[in-house]
Amino acid sequence: MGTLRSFDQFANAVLEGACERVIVGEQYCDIPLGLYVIRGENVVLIGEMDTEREELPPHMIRVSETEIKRAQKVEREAGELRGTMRKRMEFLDFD
Amino acid sequence: LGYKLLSREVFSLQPSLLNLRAEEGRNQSAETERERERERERERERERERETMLFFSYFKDLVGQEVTVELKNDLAIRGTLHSVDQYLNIKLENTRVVDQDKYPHMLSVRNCFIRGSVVRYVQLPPDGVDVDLLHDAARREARGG
Repeated sequence: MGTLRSFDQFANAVLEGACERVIVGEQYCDIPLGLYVIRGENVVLIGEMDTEREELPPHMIRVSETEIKRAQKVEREAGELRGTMRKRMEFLDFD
Repeated sequence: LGYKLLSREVFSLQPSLLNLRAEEGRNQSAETERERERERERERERERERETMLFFSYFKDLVGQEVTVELKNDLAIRGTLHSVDQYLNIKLENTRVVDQDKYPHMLSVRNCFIRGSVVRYVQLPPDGVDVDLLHDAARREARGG
């Protein structure tokens, strides 16, 4: 999130007052980043935030940076575990 | 049920030229071979450019319609097609995410720009597509205009 100051034909962008909003389940955290130059190759979507609308659903809980990083790690590891279990199942199926 | 168009480039297979000159080829100089190769490359470049134009023109005609854009990261966004460009970047208005509970990130976003390279599908209303016309146009492009 931030103020879009400029962009070009590659969708490179300059974001002022940027902050990274990390969302894991019902928890979220805003990590301030300052002035960012983003390479267009990595851009998925640029959305205009309507100031009159709610940014997030009301039930979401704001947590600290360390907390959200921990939650991310848990989610990533769970994803990896699911991946390896699946590979083992698929391996068995090929018998 | 919507028709899904793949936004990937459609690679057309070049009709293989029966090189009966294979025999004579040995007699011909390497120079002309390279020239012919370059000419073929240029043809293919023009071919690819023309292919991008077909869907670009097609999407230009669809401006104003309600579409659902499915991205490669599985996010699906519904909105009114506002504009499109040569890279098939898409601008949507009146945006809403299809599964808002799963993706709460964009609750306040009403207008957005989507980079063409991240689009997996553009879902259109079935009556918004003239499939036969598109099919014919694509076939014509594949053959070389």
